Amino acid sequence: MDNNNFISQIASTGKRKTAFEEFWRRYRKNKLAVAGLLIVVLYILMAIFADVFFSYDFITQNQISNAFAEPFTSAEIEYKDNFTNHFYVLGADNFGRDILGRIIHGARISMIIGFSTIAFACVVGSALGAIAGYYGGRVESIIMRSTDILLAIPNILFALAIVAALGPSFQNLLLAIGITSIPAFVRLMRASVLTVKNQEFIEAAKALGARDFRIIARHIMPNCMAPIIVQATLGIAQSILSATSLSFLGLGIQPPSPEWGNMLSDARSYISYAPHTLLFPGLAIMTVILAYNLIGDGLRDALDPKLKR
Amino acid sequence: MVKYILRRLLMIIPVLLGVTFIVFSLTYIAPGDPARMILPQDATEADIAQMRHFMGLDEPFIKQYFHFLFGFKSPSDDSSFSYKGLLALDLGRSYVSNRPVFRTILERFPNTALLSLFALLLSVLLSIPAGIISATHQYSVPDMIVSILSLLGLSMPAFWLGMILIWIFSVQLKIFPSLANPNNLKSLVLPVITLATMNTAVQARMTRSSMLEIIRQDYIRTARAKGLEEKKVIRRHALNNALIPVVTVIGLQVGQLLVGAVLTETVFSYPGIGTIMVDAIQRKDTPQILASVVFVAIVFALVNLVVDIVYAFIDPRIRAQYEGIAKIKINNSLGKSK
Repeated sequence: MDNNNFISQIASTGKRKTAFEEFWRRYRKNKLAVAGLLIVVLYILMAIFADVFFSYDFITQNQISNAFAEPFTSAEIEYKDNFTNHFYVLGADNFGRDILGRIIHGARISMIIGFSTIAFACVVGSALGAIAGYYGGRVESIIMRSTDILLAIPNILFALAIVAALGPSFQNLLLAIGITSIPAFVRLMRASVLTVKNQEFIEAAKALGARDFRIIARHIMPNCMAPIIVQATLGIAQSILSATSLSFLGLGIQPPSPEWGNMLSDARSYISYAPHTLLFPGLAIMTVILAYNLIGDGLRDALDPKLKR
Repeated sequence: MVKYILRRLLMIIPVLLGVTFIVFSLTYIAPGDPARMILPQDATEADIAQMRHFMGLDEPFIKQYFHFLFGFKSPSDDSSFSYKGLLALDLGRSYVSNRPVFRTILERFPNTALLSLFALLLSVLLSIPAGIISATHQYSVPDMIVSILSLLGLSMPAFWLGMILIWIFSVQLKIFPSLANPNNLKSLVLPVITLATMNTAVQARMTRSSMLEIIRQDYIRTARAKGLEEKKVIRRHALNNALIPVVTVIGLQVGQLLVGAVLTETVFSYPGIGTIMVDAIQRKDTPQILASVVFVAIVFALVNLVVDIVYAFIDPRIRAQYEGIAKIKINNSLGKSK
């Protein structure tokens, strides 16, 4: 919404800006954060419409004769008993599979991992943190001491241990990353609840006879959202990075799934012949992580002006 | 001060117990029976049951955890099933190589420590000056460069960066070897850069924002107002305070280095604790996995302990908290005796 439009809107309706408009006005000022948002939207669209660009069967089917086809070359492929000419935009990997197609389908896997693990960690972690902060006492010390212990194990190491124990699979990868992402949310939520819980509006809600659950869900949580949203954004970046790292070590998504870490793990053996197999999946990881980091920085500045420097 | 250190030392005990408990529980619930893995394919159920007994696997969970901590004496004649427990740094032998698991770890750990130490040095040497210049010349060209590079460093997966470096410096330019080993310093250059990048980025960002916050405070304005040179203002007044949060971050990063080493070592086939761990996981070598994960977790906890103590020495506010309490108590007791 541009300024004139906005002024006329105020003039006509006399309404004040909504919280979202105010937030968006501040967020928009940070050009890098807007760029980050655009990149993430692009990746999400890629993930949703992956099948429109390339069918999954096609990008998992070997075309050995075209192995390591260079970017921007075309070659004959056999697909569903048809021989056609295929244009490899980003070249082909060691099995002659289209790298662009695999990156696009890989976006789907990475986005699912990023969102689902952080959604899980955010819900569980925030609930635990809110309970710890609101009730205090023994409940708090049990929750916080367990969190301290979880934090004492480095993230990837813990995920590694979970995957090592349960075996490498998609579900176990989600579980491992989800669990290791919880503690950050617990701590953040508890700290925010502690600052909010003694304010007068909470007392007012209590005096009106609201039950604990209602107070936490309706009055406390909404006031603690800003740091949680920032943490969630940065958490998605971290989660995608962990997933690709574990897959790179052969402990995450298993081949032939087109996961970015997996693709890099294959590319490792062919660094000297086919650097393009190495370059593009890594760039995909880097841009998406960069984008989430930019959004995280932008959100932090826009949601909490006090933190802005 | 002594009190603070003692308290911090005591706090580490439940943490270590918790860590060992979690890691142990994970291997306990892991599918796959170690007894079956050791025995040949055609072993009978009775053989397996006997092997489980010899290995102490038929005991209840809590008892096995105690064995894990304090040692286990196998009922069989074969002493290789007995071990002295985590406290004695003995968790038995690897299923694959049949060597004591901690011997392998202790042999290889110095290699990981060496790599991490170099990476730490490099990241501190680069990041702190970069962060300071960036903050003192905010929005200048050098600040832009530092900010952009640190954002990129933060977003680059270390294993990918490592492979790109191999492609540039080993394959194309043939300056550095692509395989690293601790006896050849030249071969360490690429892994050290790989490992240091993320830390350098994090620390540079931290130094910058911490410095920016400090130089806006009143006492810095006072220092400037009394006519002190800008260099002196930064060195004498701003730097000490700005570096306090940076030290914490560096401390946390030391732990991250140990973990980052897992990926870097894999990329460069470097014989450290990371490659032990990955090999062990791929071969389902439970005692080796258990020992290496617990070992790294303990080293991580100890490093954090040291950092906290160092932190207390650097930050006068923490020191004063404890010394202050001590002094007030002494004063109170003096007051009473009068």
